[in-house]
Amino acid sequence: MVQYILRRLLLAVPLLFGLSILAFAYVRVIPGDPVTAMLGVNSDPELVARLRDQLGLDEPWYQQYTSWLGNVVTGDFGLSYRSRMPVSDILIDRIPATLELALGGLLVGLALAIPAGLYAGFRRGSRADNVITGATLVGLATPGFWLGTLLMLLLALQLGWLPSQGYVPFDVDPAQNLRLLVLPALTLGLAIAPYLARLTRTAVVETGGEPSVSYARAQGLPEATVARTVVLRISLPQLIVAIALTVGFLLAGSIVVEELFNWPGMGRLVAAGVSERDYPMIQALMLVYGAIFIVVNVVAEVLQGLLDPRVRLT
Amino acid sequence: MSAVAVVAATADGPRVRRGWKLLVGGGLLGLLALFMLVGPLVSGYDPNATDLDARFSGPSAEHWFGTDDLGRDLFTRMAVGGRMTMLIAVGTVALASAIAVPLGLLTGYLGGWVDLAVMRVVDLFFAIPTLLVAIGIVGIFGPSFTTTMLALGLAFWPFYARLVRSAVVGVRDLAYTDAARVIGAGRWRIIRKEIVPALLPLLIVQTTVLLGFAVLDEAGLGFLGLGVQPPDASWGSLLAQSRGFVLSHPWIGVIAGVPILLVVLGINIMADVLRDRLDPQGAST
Repeated sequence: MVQYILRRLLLAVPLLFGLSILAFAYVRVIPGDPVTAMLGVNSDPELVARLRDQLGLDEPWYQQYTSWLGNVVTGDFGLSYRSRMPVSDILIDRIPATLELALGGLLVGLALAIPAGLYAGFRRGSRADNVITGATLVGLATPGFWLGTLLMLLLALQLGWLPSQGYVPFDVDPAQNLRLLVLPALTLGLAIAPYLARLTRTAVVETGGEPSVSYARAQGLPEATVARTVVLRISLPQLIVAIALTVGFLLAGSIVVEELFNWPGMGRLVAAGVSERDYPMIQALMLVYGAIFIVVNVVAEVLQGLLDPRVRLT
Repeated sequence: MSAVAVVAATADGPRVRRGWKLLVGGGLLGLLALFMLVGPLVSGYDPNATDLDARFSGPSAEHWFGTDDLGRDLFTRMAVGGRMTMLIAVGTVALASAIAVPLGLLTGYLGGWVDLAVMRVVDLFFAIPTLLVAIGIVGIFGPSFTTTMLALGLAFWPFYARLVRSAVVGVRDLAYTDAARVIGAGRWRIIRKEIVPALLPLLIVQTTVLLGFAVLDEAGLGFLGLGVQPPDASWGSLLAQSRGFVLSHPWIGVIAGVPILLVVLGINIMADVLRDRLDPQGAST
């Protein structure tokens, strides 16, 4: 088991390495000079030269990369071109809000999708399956931010049940924090639920064809027992890995949802960073989002290994 | 879109009667095509003509979907914007396919280090949210019609490439490809004559599925203000514009999302129909 965990962890290393190269290269392919981007086109040549030297831009790229990577590993992402504040300080402020939203969205999504997907999968072809699959089809076609707008108009403005947007840190006012979380988390959860429901249904349907399931049936076990003790047990580990893969989708959704509800997470830095051409910021965001995804997936694979001994052998 | 998005959208649904699906999917797409192509002629408005006396007029007999902050007719703008969005979606899918299909065929067929190298790059793209990749590319070129296509195409190809690759691996060593090899067919001939035909159903279905995602992501980019720029209308840019007055004039934002929902629903249903007809193995269970 320990060996399995170590192997999974080791597999993440080249991925993180590649991610860092991608983020580093990203700033290099941008047309124009970062110094011009920082100082403007008509700036003092002497100032430009000094800043170039300061940023190490005249060194060969591999030296720039290693010193940049060294900084990143120690949590130094450089200064934001716009605010001139350390990018890491800005990010540390924002990460909790994004994680809270993502977690809330994931919980809503799972709470809706897992029961629906299991039910549809176990009763394939039934009327309930048709209804759930139809709802999934409509859900897949619904733009998340539009759904969020509708929810905001209905639940906040028409009915007045919830505050429409904003954010209060949890340690300042826990109750208000959670009230403000409901709409964004509901939006994000509804946006990912169709994917999760389809994955769950497919996992159950596919497991239903395994020899062990036929064997359990042949033994004369009641269908409910087969479902609970065999099908679920086999499909759960796969499902965990599949759900971890939706985290990419969840994070992409959070970018838009944060924008819609004025939720002060990392996602709001994305659009702002691009329109302000704040490249160190975009670079850091790519790294952080990518790293979250990779970590979640390693954890999921480790969980899968814990639950399913067959996986550990491969 | 994400890795799972593609898998989930390709996953099977229960077998609803085909005729019914074809009717609904085809009907939706036909209706929207009609709206986009004929709509501006019927309404008789110029999509960019402003009318400051008629700002924010709600839906009425003159302006079926109402007007925006400059008094422009929203029905016309939605129809014209739909053309723009569909053009971007088609361009996106064309670009993604142009990269992904050859790459998927090569890596799947050849295997070895080429496969290893390309698939590690693909893995990397899986780790970064698609929308962030697209946004990053918009950051390089600046938001525009062309950039939206380029950004989405470059963000989509890895998902498609992985799918094509695994499908190629599935047919590479089947008896009939081996048979072709035995009678002395070359590598290219086998790819062209044996593998591509076997993959064609999957390619057609996937192209359709991607088209739906492209429409959604165009709207996403537009919503963030990083898509097509005003005064040009696309469904994404109309949504972005509606954000500014969602509280004072909510109907604009509500109407703006409906055609997106209907088009993507129509596309996804058609993808299901195509899968049922073309790809019996991947068909609904």
